[in-house]
Amino acid sequence: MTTRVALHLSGGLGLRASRVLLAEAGIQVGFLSDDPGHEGTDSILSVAGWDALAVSDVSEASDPHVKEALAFDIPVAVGTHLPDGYPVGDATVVTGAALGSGLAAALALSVSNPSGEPVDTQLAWTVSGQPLGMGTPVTFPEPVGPLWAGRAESPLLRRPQVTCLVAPDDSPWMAVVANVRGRSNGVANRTLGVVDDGNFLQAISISAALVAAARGAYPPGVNNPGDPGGVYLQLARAAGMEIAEFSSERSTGD
Amino acid sequence: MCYISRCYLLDSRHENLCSTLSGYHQITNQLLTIPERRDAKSAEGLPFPVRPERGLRRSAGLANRLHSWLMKLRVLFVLAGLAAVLVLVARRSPAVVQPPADRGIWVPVPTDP
Repeated sequence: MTTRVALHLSGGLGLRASRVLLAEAGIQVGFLSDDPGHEGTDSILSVAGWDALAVSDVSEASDPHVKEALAFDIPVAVGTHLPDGYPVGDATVVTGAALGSGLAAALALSVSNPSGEPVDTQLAWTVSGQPLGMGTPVTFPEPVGPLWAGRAESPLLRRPQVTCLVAPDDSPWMAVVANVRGRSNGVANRTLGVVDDGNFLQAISISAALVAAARGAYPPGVNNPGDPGGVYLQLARAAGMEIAEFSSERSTGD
Repeated sequence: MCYISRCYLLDSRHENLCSTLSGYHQITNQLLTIPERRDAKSAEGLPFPVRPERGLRRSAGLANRLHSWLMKLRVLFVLAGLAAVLVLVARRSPAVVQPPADRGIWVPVPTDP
């Protein structure tokens, strides 16, 4: 069965996301823009009849398409955060789908036990900018490596035990780290990380969230990219995203 | 007549007397003797004509003030230059020192079959 996804992505993100999506079998891509579209994609004017919509952000240009999709109960993946108080209703919306915070939250969710003992979680991700000279040290996978990070808002609003750190970095790489620490001996302490070219990783992230939304992986309401079933991460890994796990010297040497 | 030093002598004795005063008076004396010679009559009975004295004092005061401001400006320019050099040095300073990395290695997570 073909999954039909509509894109309203600005800049090079649209081209990269369409390439990621067209590399998968059984996906049809439509572009909501005045452009003639990209090779292998359809240029469309309405989201009606499509399975899901992806937008870079909710702007003046994309807002009519988002509202149309929500009216038709079509899931929407938003690259950034939704504006405060944006009317979503009973539709399914995925926010932060192209942000490091969304990917970090998805990694944490993949190793957390939602019904088990509460755990401490630390999420960290890079953003474009000059590296900080002080703050909290975070070790990202190479080639980003260790960076100073500052505090950030948590994308996991329903989980209070989450510490979020954002590390500005002036390299073209994008990196995220999720550390999940158990409060008893029986719960594992795991640190997962992802690093890749920033543009490529953004395209993979929003494409995976879009297809996962089209296939019904998210419940109605506003969601993070990470879904309970792990569909988002499976799709992202199928598209080329590599996940690494940090292994401390203490545990490897023993 | 030298209005500044209040000397009524018009020959060399005037200069000898006035040269004992400050350098300011020595300079203005050269100027002040000119109107005196041109219109000696009008100066009779007027030991200290007001206008020439005031005007010349004012111009000399302006020169002093201007000189003082120029000196202050020179100091300001030097300070501004030093500040600009400091800013340039700070901007060209080496990259931020990275924090120490956690001891360990990143290993790929195998994809589920």
